[in-house]
Amino acid sequence: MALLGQVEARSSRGRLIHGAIILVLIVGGVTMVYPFAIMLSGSLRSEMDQADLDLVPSFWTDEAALYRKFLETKYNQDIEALNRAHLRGYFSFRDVADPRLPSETNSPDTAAAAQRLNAFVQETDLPHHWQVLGGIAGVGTVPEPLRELRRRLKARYQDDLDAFSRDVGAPTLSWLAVSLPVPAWTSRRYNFEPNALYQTYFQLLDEAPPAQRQLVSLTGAFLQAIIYPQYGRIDTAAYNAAHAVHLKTFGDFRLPATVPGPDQPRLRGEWIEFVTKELHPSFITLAQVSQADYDAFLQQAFEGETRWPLPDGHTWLSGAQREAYERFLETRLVEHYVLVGPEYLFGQAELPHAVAALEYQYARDHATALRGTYSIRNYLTVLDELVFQGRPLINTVIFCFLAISAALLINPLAAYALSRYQLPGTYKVLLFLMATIAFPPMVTLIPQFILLRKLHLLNTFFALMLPLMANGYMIFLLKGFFDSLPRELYEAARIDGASEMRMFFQITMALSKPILAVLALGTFTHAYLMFLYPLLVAPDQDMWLISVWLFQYQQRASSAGIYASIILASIPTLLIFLFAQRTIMRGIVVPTEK
Amino acid sequence: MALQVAVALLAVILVHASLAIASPADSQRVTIVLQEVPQPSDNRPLAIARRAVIRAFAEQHPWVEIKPFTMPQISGSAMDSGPLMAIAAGIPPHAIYVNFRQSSTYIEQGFLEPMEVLLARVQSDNVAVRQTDAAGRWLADPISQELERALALIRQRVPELAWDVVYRQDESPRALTSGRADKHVWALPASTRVTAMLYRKDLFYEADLDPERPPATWDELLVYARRLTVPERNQYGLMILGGPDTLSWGVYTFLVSNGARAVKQVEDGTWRAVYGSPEAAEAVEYFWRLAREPFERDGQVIPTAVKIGTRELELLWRRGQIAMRFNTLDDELLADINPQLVGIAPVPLSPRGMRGGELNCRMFGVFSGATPQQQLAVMRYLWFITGDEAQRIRTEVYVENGFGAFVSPDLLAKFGYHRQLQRVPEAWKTAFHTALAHGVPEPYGHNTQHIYRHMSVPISQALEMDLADVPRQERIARIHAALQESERQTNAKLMGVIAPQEMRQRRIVAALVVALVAVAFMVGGVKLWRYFSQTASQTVDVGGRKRRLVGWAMLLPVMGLTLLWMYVPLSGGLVLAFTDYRLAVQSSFVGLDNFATALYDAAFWYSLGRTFFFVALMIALGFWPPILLAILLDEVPSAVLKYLFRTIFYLPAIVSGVIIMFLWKQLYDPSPNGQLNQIVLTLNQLGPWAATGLKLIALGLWFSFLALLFWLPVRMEELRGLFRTLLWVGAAAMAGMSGWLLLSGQLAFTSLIGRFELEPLRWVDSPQLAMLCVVLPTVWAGAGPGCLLYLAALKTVPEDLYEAADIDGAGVWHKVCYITLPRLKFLIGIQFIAAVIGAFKGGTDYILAMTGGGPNDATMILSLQIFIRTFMDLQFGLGAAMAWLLGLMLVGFTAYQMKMLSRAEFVANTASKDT
Repeated sequence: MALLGQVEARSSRGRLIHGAIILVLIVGGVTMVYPFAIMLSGSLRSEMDQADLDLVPSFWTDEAALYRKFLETKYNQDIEALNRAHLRGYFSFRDVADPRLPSETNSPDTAAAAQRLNAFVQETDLPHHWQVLGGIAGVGTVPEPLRELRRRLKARYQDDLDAFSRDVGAPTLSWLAVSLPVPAWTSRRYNFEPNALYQTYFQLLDEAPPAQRQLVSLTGAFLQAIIYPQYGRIDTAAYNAAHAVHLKTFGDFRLPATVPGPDQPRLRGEWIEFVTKELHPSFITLAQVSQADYDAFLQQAFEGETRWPLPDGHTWLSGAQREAYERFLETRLVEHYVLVGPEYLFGQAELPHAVAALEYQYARDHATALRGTYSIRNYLTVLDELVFQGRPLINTVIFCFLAISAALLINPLAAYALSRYQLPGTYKVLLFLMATIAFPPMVTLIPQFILLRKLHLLNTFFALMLPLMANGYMIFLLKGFFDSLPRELYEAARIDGASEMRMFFQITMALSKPILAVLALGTFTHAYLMFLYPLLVAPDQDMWLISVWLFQYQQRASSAGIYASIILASIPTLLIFLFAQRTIMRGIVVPTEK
Repeated sequence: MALQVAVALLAVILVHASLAIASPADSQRVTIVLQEVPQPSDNRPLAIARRAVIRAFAEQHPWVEIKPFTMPQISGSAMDSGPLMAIAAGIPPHAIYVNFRQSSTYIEQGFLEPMEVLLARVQSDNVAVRQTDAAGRWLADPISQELERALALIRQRVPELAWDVVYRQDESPRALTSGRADKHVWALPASTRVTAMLYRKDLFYEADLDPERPPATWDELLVYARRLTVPERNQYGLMILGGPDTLSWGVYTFLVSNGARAVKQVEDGTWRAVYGSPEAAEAVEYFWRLAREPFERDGQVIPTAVKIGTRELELLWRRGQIAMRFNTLDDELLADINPQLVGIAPVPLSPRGMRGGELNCRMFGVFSGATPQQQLAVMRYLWFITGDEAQRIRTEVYVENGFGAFVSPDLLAKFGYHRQLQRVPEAWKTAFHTALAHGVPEPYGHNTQHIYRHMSVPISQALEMDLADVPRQERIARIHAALQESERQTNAKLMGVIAPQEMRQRRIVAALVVALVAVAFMVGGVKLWRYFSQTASQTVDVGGRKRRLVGWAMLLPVMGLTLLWMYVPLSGGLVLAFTDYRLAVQSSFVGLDNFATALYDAAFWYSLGRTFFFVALMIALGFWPPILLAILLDEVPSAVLKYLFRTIFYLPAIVSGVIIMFLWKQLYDPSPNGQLNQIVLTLNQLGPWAATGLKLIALGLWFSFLALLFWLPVRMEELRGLFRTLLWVGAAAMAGMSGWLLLSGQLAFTSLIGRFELEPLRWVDSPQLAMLCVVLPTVWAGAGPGCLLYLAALKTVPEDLYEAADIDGAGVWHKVCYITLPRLKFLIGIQFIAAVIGAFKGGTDYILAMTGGGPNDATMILSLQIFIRTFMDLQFGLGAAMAWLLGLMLVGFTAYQMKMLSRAEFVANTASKDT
């Protein structure tokens, strides 16, 4: 309030000027805040909506968008998995139809179907291979079930990563790298080895609510494996022509549980191809066959004591058991094959609609919780890597603490010596300390790197701290300030018999607190934000700082993850500025001409 | 059944075959670090298969422990630098990933160990060839029959076209000094990659194109790409991968298809750039048409059918906003894509009736710096993963995971997966075999690793040419000229051999310049020394000897650290500038050659020019906003508001500068949907009157601002010397810049009257705007933090001065000009010098993050050039020489800065009560 005098400020002209100034500042302030708003809103998203430009993510306000997001998470970002379950031909989760739109969905029987499906999944003891847990995998986003899986595995192995690596048979760098290949149960080519990973996964599956479980769909698998490659997926014309039927969409198609009769030769051939070549034998049972027949076959084929129960569709077949059954199947007529699976048990006609309805209902009933989960999951992922599992945070804290303490000890000490001891050639010392400003960093960067390598200092805190410690400008500034402190204080202290150390700490440093605070902030900001240098001298993962981690995270994360990481990483600097602003403003040192 | 028996049989045979490689009873436990070990979280079939192979290897070699290589990578064109930096940092991978273009550098740097020797050691019956003495020397060497046998075995595994790449002369200094430049095998290909076209069937269907009939010729491709471009949906017909300095890599498919090549080996074995051919010109002209020729549909003019970009395009592709792309296919697993959605087709035929694409191999070499036992273990590993058993395991995994239809038909046949073989889409087989038959190996000769960077320059230039109204022949001719010019320059760099007398002359010039640098540094040093000695004479030695010692002891840590951390490396940097520094092997002294090379390098002078431009922009745009902001903030009447604004303007300082660059890069999206473009384009909606008014107002504001800058120094008589000149320089720079912006048509003012007819700006993609785009974020982010110092300084202006002025009836302007600014004069002077020096030295990492030096080298400032030469080309000596020359530029400024600082007194703002 300097330029406008108090009287002038109250005049209408003064008010106008103030108004204009504030307007300019507001416009400038908006440009400062806007990118942060973009980041904040971007950090809440997932692959599906990350390119949307709206500042408030649509899943916060729109139920249909939330529903799509729920599907994206449930089907592990795999649109084909959704297409199998819903018998649709979407290309992206963004296109998924709002189930309210075909008006009948809110009708009592759809709601009833959802109810019935919920009860069915809850009450029937569905085999593990009839379902897949939703949200167990993700590209860029880490859904909650996957986090839970990692947490449980870590607890189970008591944080012994090597033991886990041995059990699973893959070198694993961290618990955060653990994930589960989504089981492709219906595929004949799928084989799985039950290990700790899967045991934990089954545990989670059993605990999940029905709406969170994907049910395998033989019809969907059949369409994708056999029908679409031949007739296209977009419209049914070619299929209808070949089969002499009138399907409106492929969504109306259902795979019969038994082989179609000779009156449908085309479909019969396709059915046989699917069941004998594509479908996993665990989904095939045999009619008109007794356990005795199977025993007899096993007796004959294996000439030994081998006895397996005749599969009823509820057990997963693997290894020798599967091989034996496959051979047995080959000896039987296809007419005796009966497919089993959730759709046959529940009612084929209704299932896809019931699934969609149940999902929609679930998303609507749990809207608040889901919105919360989807909003914070990117942040949780970042926190996992930064704090809970990785070392970046602790490294950064140690490093910043060391760097600030070192800089705030040796530089004031030197400035004190120069100010109080009046050494011969004080200014030459200053010149020696400051002259290095003249050289572009490129001149020294390479030899510094080679030097660190020779001294075996790479990947140490000391190497990271080096450029932050001796600072000629800081010494120069402090010396100037120390010079301005009243001499009488020192005289008095000396008369009282104070030692040099006491005088340094209790007089000089105590009087310089604001300046030291500013210098500490400068050192902190520099230490916290620099990344190219730490990347060069401390590339070892155990030595990563937050900035280095951020940099490499940018190379692999989704843009939402990147935004979340940037926001979390800027919180410390923001807090410090917010709370220390007064001190900083008081401690800034202004050079003036002598 | 038969299949399983066959596989089992095969497995047995293979296990026996692998046992033929002598089992190492003589080995103890070895840890090896490998590149490209997939993490368990990687669920792609490729990763699953590779994991299975590693597991199988680990089971057979329990004494070998495998560790994945982790090294944060620098993205963009520096992508090859990860392992190099790891080697430099002493945490190298032991099996190094090598592609064609890097192979030469790796061999010359001596990073790779001859493979046939290692294989002979592994396979030999003589145990001694695998043992070392205490000093790590081999006890014995394999005999020549063993070497020949190993060589023959390797040859069987190397595809014919890659043989010349992997089997070549030892060019490392080690060989040159020992005089034994024998031929060796340096790397083992793990798989071959070829180029084909991918296209989205759903988009074809929507555009009424037959999803089963992809474009077969260039003409069709052009028509299809345009049909498939839908601006409203932000959908593009074709995407070309390529950043500013990798654009030629994306376009290379067209060049090769038209019969052009990037480089060729001439009779004497050296490599020459040959992309200045008419074929290349035609290809680039075709690319220009795709990317820059506007076309009309339904009355709407669409500027381009191609989206050019880097990583971010993958998302657009996945989301169905790109209809066609070129992609590399692996020879084992063609692609892990959905065949219903994505079609694969051969690269379209050029008008010359040819087609082709780049052909590359994923290869691995053994790092020469590994211990002998590690080298052997790596050799075993590489031999294993390229062998039949590994291939069988991978094929099995692909098939088991439902990717049977994507596996190379040859592998399916080889391992008996006949059922899957039938399901491989016919089009894919054709596409793959066509690509393999017409593939052209990526350039791999001496110094060719940067050929894509060189070749990108004329292609970017061509895209910037205004060719829309030029007949086709003329277009080709102009592009041809640009290509030829670039080819000539590249050859000058590639050959790197200069006639002796030319070199002598260059050395003389270099000697003169180096002498000049030395004199400048010395004069600067001596002057400063004298100056400081004068100042120093004021202090008298009052303390005793003991007291002096205590004082020196307190100075010791700082002096020691400065000596160790600044002066030792400085002298090291000086030495470096006179040597040809190598990372893995002995370096040699080369005298003044590095300086000579730098001074005769056109790129050096060009970058220097860019540096001056960069500094001028930084000062003109970035220096005054903090001052203005401080004055404005100081006038805010409420303390709370003041606090709020200060915090808001400080916000950008809480995130690292590089991240700010990433943020702005998104704002600079060149499509009409880009954030900044959306704002720019809203102006188009104004009516003619409003638009005219706005234009005139804007122009008037700008000119009055310029006038103010010129007028201020005249008006303020108290201002002397530097400050006044400075304002004038600033004003002149701004006037020049605005004149240039208007004249060059960058601001697209069609006229001053009538509606805005703005087109979306290309921002950072446009060579004219790129430097401005790099500077703007710095200015934006620097205003808030920079104003704090001025705010503190404003507090030191005594209030009564203003009151006195009030009594005299002075206005606001008067007070700013006669009280505020003169009071800040000294501070502004000091800050100005610091800003100039800072601008000269800085900017590297920001520009690296934003543009990587492009487009068209528009933002290639000298410090970035040094960075690239040093850390990407590994020319440490040349980089150091350039850095010293840059240092010369700053000597004067720095001396002046020190002088000013020595006159300064530091006043803390502690007295102020105001927050």
